[in-house]
Amino acid sequence: MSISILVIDDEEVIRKSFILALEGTGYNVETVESGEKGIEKARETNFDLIFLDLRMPGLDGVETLRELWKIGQTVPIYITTAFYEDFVDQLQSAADDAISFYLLKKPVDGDEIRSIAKVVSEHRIRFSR
Amino acid sequence: MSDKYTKILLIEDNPSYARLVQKMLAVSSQVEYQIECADRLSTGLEYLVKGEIDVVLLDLGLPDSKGLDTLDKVCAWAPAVPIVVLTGIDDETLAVQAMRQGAQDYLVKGDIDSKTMWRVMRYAIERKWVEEALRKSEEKYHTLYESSKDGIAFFDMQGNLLEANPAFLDMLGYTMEEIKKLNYQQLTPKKWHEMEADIVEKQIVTKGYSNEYEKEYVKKDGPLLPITTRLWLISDEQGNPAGMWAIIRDISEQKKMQLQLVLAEKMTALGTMAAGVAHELLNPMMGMLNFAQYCLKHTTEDDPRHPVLQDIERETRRCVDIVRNLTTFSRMGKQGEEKYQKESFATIIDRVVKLLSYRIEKEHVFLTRHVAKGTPKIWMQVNSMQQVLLNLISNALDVLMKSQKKEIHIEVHREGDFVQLTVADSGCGLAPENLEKIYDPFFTTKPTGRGTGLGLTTSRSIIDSHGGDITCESKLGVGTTFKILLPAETKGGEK
Repeated sequence: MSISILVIDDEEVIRKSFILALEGTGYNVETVESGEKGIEKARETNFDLIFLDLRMPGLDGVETLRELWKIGQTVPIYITTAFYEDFVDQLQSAADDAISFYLLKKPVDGDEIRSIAKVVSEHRIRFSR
Repeated sequence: MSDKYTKILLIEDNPSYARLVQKMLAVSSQVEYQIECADRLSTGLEYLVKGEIDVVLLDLGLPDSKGLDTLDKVCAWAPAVPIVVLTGIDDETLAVQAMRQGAQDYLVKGDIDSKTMWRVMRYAIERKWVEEALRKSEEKYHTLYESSKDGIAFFDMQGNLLEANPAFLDMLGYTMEEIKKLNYQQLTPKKWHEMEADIVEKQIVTKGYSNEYEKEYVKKDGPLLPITTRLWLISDEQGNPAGMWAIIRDISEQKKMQLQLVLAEKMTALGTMAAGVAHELLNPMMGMLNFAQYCLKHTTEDDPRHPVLQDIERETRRCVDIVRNLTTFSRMGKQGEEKYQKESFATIIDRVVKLLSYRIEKEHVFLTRHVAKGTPKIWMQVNSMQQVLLNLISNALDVLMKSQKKEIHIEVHREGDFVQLTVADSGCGLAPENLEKIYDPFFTTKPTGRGTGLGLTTSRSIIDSHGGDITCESKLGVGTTFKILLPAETKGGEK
């Protein structure tokens, strides 16, 4: 089943990685370079899966996560980061507020990206609020 | 001397002579005095024991004691009381001998007048008093010399040691006999010779003393001892330099603390840098990884570029591993957050050996482990301690790869207030110049790509935070032994 995937990351190399990894899978992949743009996109389109960077200029990953949650996103959000230690407190408080997310450690290779997308497409996972 | 009277004890068995002495004293007395008379040595000693006698007039020939023996006995009973010996006219040699053995002066019977008698007694008392004061002062300085924690030593002008106090001998581990046989060159590492020659010439000889300076001595068992010292010149009667005396302070603890501080600062800086670098590198590496994989997917296996692309993918993953190691290291600062639990070494050795069992078997390493009966469970950060053990055993495995004899021996037992863990390998050993560097961040003897040079740095910081100690002994061609001491009862360096 085809799904829509949103990648939010300020680094082009990461956005490109996702595009290349998912090429040929038939999934619809959209990428944006900031939290603000990601929220805007999520308002317009119903995505099934979101990959979200943590350390970004402007809204950081945790703030973006909270906004996405506010506008009613219940799809799986994978926070992809090389180094989440600086955000442990914010992530913990988001989790305490019952906001759901997964942590994914960079670098993520093509196999991992495709297998996550595959699982989501087969099960259409949604978080309950 | 008692305040009011000069108390005189006359020990004389001849009653008529005793009376004569008393009369003579009475004639020209300028001070108030009291006299006690004894006709035997034993009676005289009884007076002396009671104390307060200022001077003894002593006849050497008594019914119960004869000659110099008499003097010796009086000296022994009252060493601080001056003695004036009374001798016959033909006994002057004896009198001189008596003075050598502790008498202050002598009077020749039949050749004395009252004034001479008083003068001799007064001088005897004064001289004895000065002697006593000198003796006490010497005793005081001797005690200081013997019990000082700082080393005190005397040298000739070439720097050879002539005498030293116990503190100095303790510092270097020598006995007095041993150290006297050694010359300056044997006690001081070569690198200090020129500097010290300069200090002797420009400071000690010129102004009579040196400023405090740092140097090292070689201890009996080999290692260097860092010290600070200051020297003063001793001149002979003609005013020529005759020697030097020095105060020496052991600063090895201080040096160790300084090194640890520097290391801690290095680690913090390194941690911060590693975190930054890791973040900056992992994003591009994720790109490289996915780009290589993309190209691989679109290249057929018979294409000569296929294996090259595989190389790119593999090498990128290796870069990732190295960066990951760095980030693990930078988290060491946060290792303090791991909870302490009571755990036995047997358990964690088991886990680590299992983890490495593949390598141990593949490389045919003979590994023994022994945990002595009665070794208690101790408080530890279990994951961190496993990391230490993993580092030590994998280091040993690495070194055994190129070794004929392949053995690792792990041993644990209680050692007083500590539990001691040793990991010994039969590898090629470390060169002495490398031994001091093994804990330095990024120091490694392994081939490029195999070691990050952070394993032992990390291990030491873990052991330090547990309030323990890690030491390494190594012999080239024989092997290397790491010894870890951890407090058996307390937790994480608590006192």
